[in-house]
Amino acid sequence: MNFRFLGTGRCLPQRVVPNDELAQYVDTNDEWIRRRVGISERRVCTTETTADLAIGAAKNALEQSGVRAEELDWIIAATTAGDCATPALACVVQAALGAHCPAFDINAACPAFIMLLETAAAFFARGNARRILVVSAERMSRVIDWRDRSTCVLFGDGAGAAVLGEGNGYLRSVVHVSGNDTILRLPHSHGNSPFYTVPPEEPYLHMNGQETFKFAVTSICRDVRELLDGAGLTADGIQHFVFHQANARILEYAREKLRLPREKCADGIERYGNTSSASVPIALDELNRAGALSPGDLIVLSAFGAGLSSAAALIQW
Amino acid sequence: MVFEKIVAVLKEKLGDDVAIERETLLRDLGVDSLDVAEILMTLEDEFGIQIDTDGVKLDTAGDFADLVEGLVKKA
Repeated sequence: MNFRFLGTGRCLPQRVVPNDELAQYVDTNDEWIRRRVGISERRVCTTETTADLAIGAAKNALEQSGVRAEELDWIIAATTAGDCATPALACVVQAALGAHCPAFDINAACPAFIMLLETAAAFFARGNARRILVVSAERMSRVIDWRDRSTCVLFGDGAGAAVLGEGNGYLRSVVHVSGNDTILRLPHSHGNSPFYTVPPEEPYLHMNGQETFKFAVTSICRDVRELLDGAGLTADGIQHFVFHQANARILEYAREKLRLPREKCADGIERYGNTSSASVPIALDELNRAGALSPGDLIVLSAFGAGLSSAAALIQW
Repeated sequence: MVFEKIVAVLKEKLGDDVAIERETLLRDLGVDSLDVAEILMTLEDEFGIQIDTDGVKLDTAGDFADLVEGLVKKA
C-alpha cells in the first residue's frame, strides 16, 4: 500500500522579474541569460514569505482534492530557503490551514519533493495514514547573492504541493547520495559566539557550475535508466517526464542522451527559473491543471541537488 | 589524433566552418563553462578516461588536447 494523488497545487509570488531588469544589479543581459540558461523571467517575493507560498500551494492542492485540512494525518514540508530554521515550515502551514495533525520538515535540497513522496509512501505503508499533504516552498531570492551574476540570474521563488491518499500509484523510486559539501553549499549565518574560531562564510548559495552541471546530467541519465530498467519499461512507455527545472542546458542534454521527445518533457525553467525543490511539484501541477494527465498515465519525476543527492520516481496517475 | 578528435567535438558544438588550431582560445569561440563541462564529458566517454580539471589551464584547444593525451597515456 502506498498512495495516489488526490490533488496538486502551486503558488507563485506576484512579482515577475524579466532578465533585462537583472541588468540593473549585475552585468548581464536578456540574450545571454536566454541563450545560456533558457530563462526569460522568474517570480520573486516582495511581500510574500516562504510560509505564504507554502500555505498558498497547500490550499490550492486541498481545494482540488476535496480533502479538508482537518482530515489530514500528516503534513510534511521541505524548504532549502525558508523563513526560519525552526519552527518547521510544516508546523506553520498546519496552523494556517487549521489542521491538527503532526507536521515536520525534511531537508533534502532540490530532490526534496521526491523525498517527500518517498517519506509519505513509508507512512502509508505503515498503515497509519490516509491523507498526507506534502509541500515544497522556496524563497531562493533570500539566499542567492544578488551581486553574483553567475548565480542570481538562475533562481526563482515558488511553491508546489500535493494531497496524497491511499492507493498504489507510487510504483518505484531510486535515490542516490554522494556526500559532498563543497560543490553546492548554502551556509547558515555565522552567529556571534565569542568562542567559535572557524572562519565565517557568507550565507549565500555557493555553486561550482561546471561540477554541478556534470553531476546533474550524469544523475538524471543514471537515475532514469535505473528506474525504467528496474520497472522493465522503456522511455516509450512513459507519458510524461518531469525533471527538476534547474537549467535548460541540463534539461536539453539529458533529454538528448535519454532520447526523449520534447513534448513528453515538462517545462517551467523559462518562466520560473530554478525554484529548487518546488520546481517538480509546480510542473506537475501545471500538467495536471492543463488536463494533460490521464488516469493510468506513467510519469517519471527526476531531480538532483545539494548533498550531492538525486532521486527519481515512477508514478501512475 | 587526439587533437583531431577534440576539433571534431568542438565543431559538433560550434559548426563546421569554425577554424580551430591548437592556439585557438575557447573564449574566442564563444565557449562558456557549461560548454566546457559538456565537452569534457564527451571526451571522457570517447576516450574512456576520467578528467579532473583541478588547477589545469584550459584556455585553448591545444590545452584540451594536452590534458587528454596525458590521461590517455596513463590509462
